[in-house]
Amino acid sequence: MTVGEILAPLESGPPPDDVVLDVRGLRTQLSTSRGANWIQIIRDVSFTLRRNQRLAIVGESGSGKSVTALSIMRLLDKSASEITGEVWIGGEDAQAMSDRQMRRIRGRRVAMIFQDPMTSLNPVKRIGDQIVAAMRLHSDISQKDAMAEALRLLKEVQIPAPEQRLRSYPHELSGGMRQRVMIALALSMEPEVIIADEPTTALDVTVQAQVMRLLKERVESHGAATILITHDLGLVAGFAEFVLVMYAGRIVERGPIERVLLDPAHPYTAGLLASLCTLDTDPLEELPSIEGAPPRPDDVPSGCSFHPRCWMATDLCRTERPPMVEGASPDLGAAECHFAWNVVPPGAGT
Amino acid sequence: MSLIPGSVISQLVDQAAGSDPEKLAEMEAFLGLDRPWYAQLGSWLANVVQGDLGNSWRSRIPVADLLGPRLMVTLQLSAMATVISSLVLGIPGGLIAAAYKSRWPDSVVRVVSLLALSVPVFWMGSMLILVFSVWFNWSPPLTWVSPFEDFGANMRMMILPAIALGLAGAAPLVRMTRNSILEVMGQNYIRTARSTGATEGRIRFRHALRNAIIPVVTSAGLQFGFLIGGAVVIEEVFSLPGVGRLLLQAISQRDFPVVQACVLTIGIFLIFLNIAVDILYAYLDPRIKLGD
Ligand SMILES: Nc1ncnc2c1ncn2[C@@H]1O[C@H](COP(=O)(O)OP(=O)(O)OP(=O)(O)O)[C@@H](O)[C@H]1O
Ligand SMILES: [Mg+2]
Repeated sequence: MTVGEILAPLESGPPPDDVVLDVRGLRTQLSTSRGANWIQIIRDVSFTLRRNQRLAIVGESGSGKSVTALSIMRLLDKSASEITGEVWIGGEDAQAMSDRQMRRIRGRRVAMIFQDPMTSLNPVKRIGDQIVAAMRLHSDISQKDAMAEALRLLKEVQIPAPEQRLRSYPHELSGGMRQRVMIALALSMEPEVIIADEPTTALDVTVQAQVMRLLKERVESHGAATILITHDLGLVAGFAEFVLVMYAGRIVERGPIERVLLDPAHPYTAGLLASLCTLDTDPLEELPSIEGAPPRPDDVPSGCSFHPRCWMATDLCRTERPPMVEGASPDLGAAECHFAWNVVPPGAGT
Repeated sequence: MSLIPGSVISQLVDQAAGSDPEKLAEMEAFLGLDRPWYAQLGSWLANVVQGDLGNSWRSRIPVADLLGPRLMVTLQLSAMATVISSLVLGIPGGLIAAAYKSRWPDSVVRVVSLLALSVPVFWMGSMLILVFSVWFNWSPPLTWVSPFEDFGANMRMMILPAIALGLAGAAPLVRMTRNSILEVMGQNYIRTARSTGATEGRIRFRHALRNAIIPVVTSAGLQFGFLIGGAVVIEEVFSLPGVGRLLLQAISQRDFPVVQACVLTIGIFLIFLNIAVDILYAYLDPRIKLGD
């Protein structure tokens, strides 16, 4: 099987057994004022995640990464969201499930780690109780055994004095420790997929690195496939095997990590890479960054939605939506650009 | 109170010895009323500290004996009213309103609680008596019995006044609970709970309620002060022998020692209440440590 096959969305019907998550043509509209004023936030997102894979979704703030994750989990407010497309989880389409069926999916098959560890744990419940409660939602394990398992997990995520921490409240822990607890919480339900939405954005840089290393180790040893959502391409490099680049609610490029980092096929990806600080960057020189800001979701440009910020844009880009262009070999992935695979880095041509 | 026209002397003396000015002065001296007000207050305080509340000017009975049994009535009434206003009406009402936000149960709860809030306590009490006696042909017994003597009879007597008082106190608690739950339901940790597959009911009761109740407890504690004020009125309407009624009576009779003792008791009671609320608060919210 080639990487191209791995990444290309499957056509119809249930995906093969080793596919733990298959998203097809996901579109999400959100309402800003209770059932009125609908805005298309996610416009056609498709990807396939296989057992044990580590995938990253990268994009600037507002590109729709979190909404994608929440749509998959069906965690958006029902009355203010409209989701279409298919989300295959464990051989079933989650979009067609009842709320009850969906609750059995959450945590058990797909668990989430959220961005803000300071507010994502219940302030009035002890750490151990929160983990135990989550575990016991999905298995018949006894309170005592669950507590022992929670202790084991706290040890596993390298929390010092785990016996005491089990009885601690969230406010007694630092941000990094709380995020470790969140990782333990996600692992405790033994999910097939873990979606980590900017798990380290709220943390100090040094703590960030520790938590990312830990997350990678733990998901590997538990055999969970992972989706890392981040705006930081630097984090992705050390973690993921595959990358999806997201812009204005669409996947604009997908491919294996080395290829995307070394040879971006979409100008947007190239722009993100150029703005990344590397060791041989002259610290006095201003880093080239993509000019302008991503479009507001209620005001997405015609044609290619990136064209107003693109240094390669032509009239074609302004009027016509580009096709998804596969690379020379299918394992290279694909990019949605009229000039895909022929990208000039920003600032080079001018 | 010294400003209220008509002194206890003239009242007492009217009944006793006519208006002999010599007798009046003698009496004033006996009760200590010839001294300035601060001297009176000082000696009263000195006695209180020693546990002596003095005697009623009217009945000559020690104030402590007068107050003791009445205090129990008022405490029982306020406690029952607080339970009714928070646990029976306020918190469940707020939970329902929040669960059905912007749908009809929410509107019903809000309209009813607004009505309950705008109705004076005495009117509510009178209406309850009226409704029960006219429609159900039932009226509360007229003599008060201690709950330790005859619990049933005591409850029969206390339930209507407690409901009247509880209804009045419930409205703000309904609103607070509703808004607090709605706020908590939007918090990140609720989303976390959802992401683990917890049911809505579980999320409401196991995750949201405890957090939402914290501000409600404080306000329920403050409510209690308001309920004491209401208790004065309700005791009068239902002729319950409580502190409130004693206070009203003592004021109209210019019975200083009794008035002072009643006010003191209510004050001490409110202090204890505040302490109790703080303890409960610290129990509910692990982020707050007593003694910090
Ligand atoms: N509840 C909502 N109602 C309306 N619009 C929303 C809602 N939540 C998000 N949006 C909009 O959807 C777009 C995508 O948001 P999303 O949170 O998915 O971005 P993101 O890629 O996760 O960005 P970030 O890096 O800031 O987390 C944004 O423009 C945002 O304003
Ligand atoms: Mg986000």
